[in-house]
Amino acid sequence: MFKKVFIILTVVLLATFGFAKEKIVFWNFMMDEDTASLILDKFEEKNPDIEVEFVQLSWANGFDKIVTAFAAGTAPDVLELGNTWVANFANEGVLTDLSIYKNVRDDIVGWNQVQFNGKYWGFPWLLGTRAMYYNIDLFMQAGLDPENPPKTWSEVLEAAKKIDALGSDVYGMGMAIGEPYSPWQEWFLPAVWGNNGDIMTKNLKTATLNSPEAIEAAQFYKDLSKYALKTKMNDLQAAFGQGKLGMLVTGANVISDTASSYPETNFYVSFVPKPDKGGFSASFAGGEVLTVPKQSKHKEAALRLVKYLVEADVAMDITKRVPVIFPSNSKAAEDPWFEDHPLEQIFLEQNATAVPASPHPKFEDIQSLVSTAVEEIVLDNADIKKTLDKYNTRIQIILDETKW
Amino acid sequence: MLSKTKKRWSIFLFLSPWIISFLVFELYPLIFSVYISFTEYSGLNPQKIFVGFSNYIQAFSDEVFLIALRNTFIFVILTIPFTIGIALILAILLNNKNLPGRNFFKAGFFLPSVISMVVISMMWLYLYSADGLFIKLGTMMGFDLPARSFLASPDSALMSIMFMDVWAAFGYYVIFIFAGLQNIPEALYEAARIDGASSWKIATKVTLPMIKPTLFFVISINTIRSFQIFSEIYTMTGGGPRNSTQTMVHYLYEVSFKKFQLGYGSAISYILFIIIMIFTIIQKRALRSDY
Repeated sequence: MFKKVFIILTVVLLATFGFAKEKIVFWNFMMDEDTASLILDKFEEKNPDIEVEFVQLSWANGFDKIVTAFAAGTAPDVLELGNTWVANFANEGVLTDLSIYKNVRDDIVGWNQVQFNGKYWGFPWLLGTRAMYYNIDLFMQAGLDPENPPKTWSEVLEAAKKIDALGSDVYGMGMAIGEPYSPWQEWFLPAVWGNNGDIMTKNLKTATLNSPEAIEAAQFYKDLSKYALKTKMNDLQAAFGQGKLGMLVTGANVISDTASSYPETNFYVSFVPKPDKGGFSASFAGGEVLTVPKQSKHKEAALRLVKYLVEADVAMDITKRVPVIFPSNSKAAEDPWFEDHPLEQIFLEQNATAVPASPHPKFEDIQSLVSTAVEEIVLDNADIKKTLDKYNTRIQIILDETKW
Repeated sequence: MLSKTKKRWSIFLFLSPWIISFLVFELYPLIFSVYISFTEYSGLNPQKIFVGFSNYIQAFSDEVFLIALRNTFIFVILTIPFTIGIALILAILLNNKNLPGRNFFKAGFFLPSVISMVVISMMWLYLYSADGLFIKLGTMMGFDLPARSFLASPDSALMSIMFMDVWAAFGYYVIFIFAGLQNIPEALYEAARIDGASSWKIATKVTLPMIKPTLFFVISINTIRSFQIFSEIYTMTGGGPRNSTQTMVHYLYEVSFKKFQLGYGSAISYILFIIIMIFTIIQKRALRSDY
């Protein structure tokens, strides 16, 4: 009798544990419950041995939640991070080094978004960049050709000047100020990048905010500010919708926001203008990346999920529902969806020349200095050289003090 | 005897949910944060390096901390007189039994206090925006205002938040002061009147001394809440533009959770604790309250 029970128990135990699914936890910002269940159900079908527990984080408190989870040792197995956070977490040594995938996955773009200290700490997943919106009606009123939007800095200045002259309630350009990130993000720093400059050298040791390239970009930005409405990004997007702005450099969410809130506004999108000579059409690369925390005990299963999520058709399923971010997988460009979404396609193409912020662990401190410099130049009319010198020195102090 | 001990323990049994949560969620973090304020600790990495008082010393040479300290003091010193002053005047008006619609006013004044601060902040974010009510009103009255959010300029951002805060806070204190006024026995006023006291005398010699404990309570509560201002800043400006609305609690949040310096963040929170304690002691002395 006892033997029988023992045998049955052993069989039952083997059955449950032998076929037990490996459970992994996935924290993400971008997908809501609906999208996630669509995508993760398919994954579980293909990988019957893995069960995914999905948690959606909010932008309002997700970051704090991640930090506390790491501190408590309860980090998830797969974690979505904003690209500007990667250096910070990588520097603390809490992420798994995924450099080996960089060379084998040349179908994925945006690897520079997960690079820190010569290593790659995640997979680029969904990329969101900025492009230039313009108001077709205002272009026509100002005698500009809406088929041929400005492509260079001097063309933008010229167009902004003409549109600004249309009336006291109409502005040539929208310029974000008074916020933590948008003053440098939405165009100032990309203009510096486009002019082949940056705020620090590639080795992250020397500040270069007062380089000739940066000074030139700042001069252009200051000239442009004369024809610009300068306020918070939300106000600018509303003003663009109300037909008060000729041009605005911002993210892809404005396509659907404007179309639904201000259907009478006639607009189109083009690449961010580049310097007159040399340079390129740089824009800010925002991006969502997938990382595997070191604390994870299911790294193999976690990587399988990561590789699945970066597949072109999987990522496209997210883009189709949230058309503000686009797959890092270059095969996604072949998706017929883009034929019906020409504005989104411009954003997808802009991704190719988008630049992420310098992967410095103290970037949070540095970027606020850049915002301040931008505001002093465009709002207080401060001297460009002196201002950039001043903030360059302060950035240099941060770079010197950083412990690696 | 046995039953008495049993009774005593059963009291603890019933108190235990609170005791356990107090120990785990309040006392432990409190002690832990004192400890980490003397260390360098990122929060992500379990490593803690003991650094003595250097976090506390660092604060007073940290430019942003000093700005935050100054802004917090400006906020406290300029909002409290208005909040309490308005609340006091309105409470005295409400105390007049002949006022028609007393309950309506009481409820109306209190209304902002039941709305979450985040909701209020979002509402005022719109009111202050370039397209918002205040700019429109100003332009209608003929002022030449730039089309710029009040919160986007360092000159107006902190003042704007202070104005909103007074609006949102005074109703809460009206109710407290009103309750204090109601507790003053009518006989005191009658006696004063019979003795021929003027209304000024009655106000300063009867009403004010009688509501002193209430006033002490509302002023100290308001001081503590004002020193701890966070959600308005977090929702509306993120401490900007150019740190013009940076306050101590918002800065300690930034330091701890955006810059990963939990040790330094804890040190700032203890500096704030000491400041609040000093203020409360001073207020207690100044109002010579026994409460």
